[in-house]
Amino acid sequence: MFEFKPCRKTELYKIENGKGYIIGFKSIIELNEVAAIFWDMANGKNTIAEIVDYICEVYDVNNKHTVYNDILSIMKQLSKEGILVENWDPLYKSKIILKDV
Amino acid sequence: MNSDYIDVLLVNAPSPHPGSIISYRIQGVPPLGLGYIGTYLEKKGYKVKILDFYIDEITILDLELIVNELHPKIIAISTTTETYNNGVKIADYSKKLDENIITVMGGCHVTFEYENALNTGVIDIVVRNEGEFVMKELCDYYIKKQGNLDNIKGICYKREGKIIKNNRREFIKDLDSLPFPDRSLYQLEKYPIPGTISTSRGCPGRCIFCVATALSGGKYIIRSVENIIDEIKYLKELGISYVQIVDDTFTADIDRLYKFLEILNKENLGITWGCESRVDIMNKELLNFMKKCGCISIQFGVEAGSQEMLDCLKKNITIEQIRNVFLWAKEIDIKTGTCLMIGQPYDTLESIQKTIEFATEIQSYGARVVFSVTTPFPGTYMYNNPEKVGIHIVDKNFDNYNTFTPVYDTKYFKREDIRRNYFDAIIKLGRGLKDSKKKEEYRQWREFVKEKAEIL
Repeated sequence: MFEFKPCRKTELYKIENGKGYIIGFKSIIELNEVAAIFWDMANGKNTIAEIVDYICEVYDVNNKHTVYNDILSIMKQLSKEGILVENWDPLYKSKIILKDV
Repeated sequence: MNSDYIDVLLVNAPSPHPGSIISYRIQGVPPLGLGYIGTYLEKKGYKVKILDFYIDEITILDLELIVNELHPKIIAISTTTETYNNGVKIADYSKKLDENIITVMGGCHVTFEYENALNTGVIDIVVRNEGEFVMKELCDYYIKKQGNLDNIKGICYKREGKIIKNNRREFIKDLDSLPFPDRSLYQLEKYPIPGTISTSRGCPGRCIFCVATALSGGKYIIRSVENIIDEIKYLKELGISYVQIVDDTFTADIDRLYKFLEILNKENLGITWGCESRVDIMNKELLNFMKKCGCISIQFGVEAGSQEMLDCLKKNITIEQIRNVFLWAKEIDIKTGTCLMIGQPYDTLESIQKTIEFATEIQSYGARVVFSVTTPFPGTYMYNNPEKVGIHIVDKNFDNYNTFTPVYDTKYFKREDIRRNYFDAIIKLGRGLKDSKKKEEYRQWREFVKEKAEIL
């Protein structure tokens, strides 16, 4: 999954004072600082590995495994809200798994 | 030669954003431009297929299948600024599948940015502006080995490392002479709005942000009413009962509009229709007549909420004209929609507040109002004159040129400020929805969008 490229389904968001706010389908979703950084980088171009590396750099964290687990947890929540694609390539869409095979 | 083989594959490149693809599931229309080109080529004896990447099931694997089974000699890719990068990837993929395939790119973006496109090394020809006659001449050259590339007006290409820009081709004056797009070229059942028609090309407006103005140079070329009605009858024979007129502006020629309404009324075809219009030509009688003739929805261009900002954008409309149109439409019960821009070059906090207030007012008249982020598309006055309009473009990634991502700083705002203002504007507009029935409609609409989004 490190090479997955997560992508937000909506651009209706802002980052203010380090926190993220997304206009979800039912309510405004609030993100903490780490989740906000993830969301901002989730553009279908950055891999999970790159996002993890960036967050480790920003927060001077050595334990990538912990950050990776946090990111997976954030992704799961945002996917459940219906606003995130876990691995996106517009030329493959839902057949991206076939591409990896 | 296998009779199943095709000569030309016409491709509609997709947006990089899942949001745009979701939007297509809700209000997607067939790419008429490709239909026009494909039909014209078919009439000239060429075999054509359209591949629209906006259709959910269509992926690059389908392109691979078509190349392997149908062996197109030319792959022509239509792109906008937002879809340009994906168009280049499709061209690259095509070349990897078969290096002998001629890749052509057309559309509003490369009409202006042809150098970058040719310098990618995977695009052989750029078509600027209209594609019907140009594509036919390209097919004659590459497939029938007739003619000379130097003599084909309206194209750019590379020769020995140098970019050659042939003379401009004149706009097609007699649009009636073009065959109607053959709807069997599309998978019509895949589009939420399958019935569309283009009755004119260009726009007489001079809005500084608009690509239609840039492409047409202010020219506005129209089809005759008889020709339009004939195509509507063709759509009706296909079982279509609602027609969306997709012109940048349908109502610029008021005499033609009245004639259209008179004939439509007389023919009594039993179809409903929608269109886009400027506000300055509207009056209550005209709106009434449009409704009587089956018009059920009109999208009006508003863009800003104060006279000062409208004047800066060179919209040439007044706040009073806008207000009147929506009030009349409410009285007559025609659905209306409009879009207002946040973050245009001259916006201040005060002007944005006025835009939000005006948007809320229009919404209270029953209009469906959305906000967009001003985007400087290549070819527009805004893109070509950033210093004059006071913007500094900080993001040159065309994937982000999508009208909801800010790509420049202005005199008053950094682009992250514009993003925050855009977000806040949407929230305020939502809070301004007081009517409980409208609130419920909006809630149902969001549920509907969520369902459509879940498939990705």
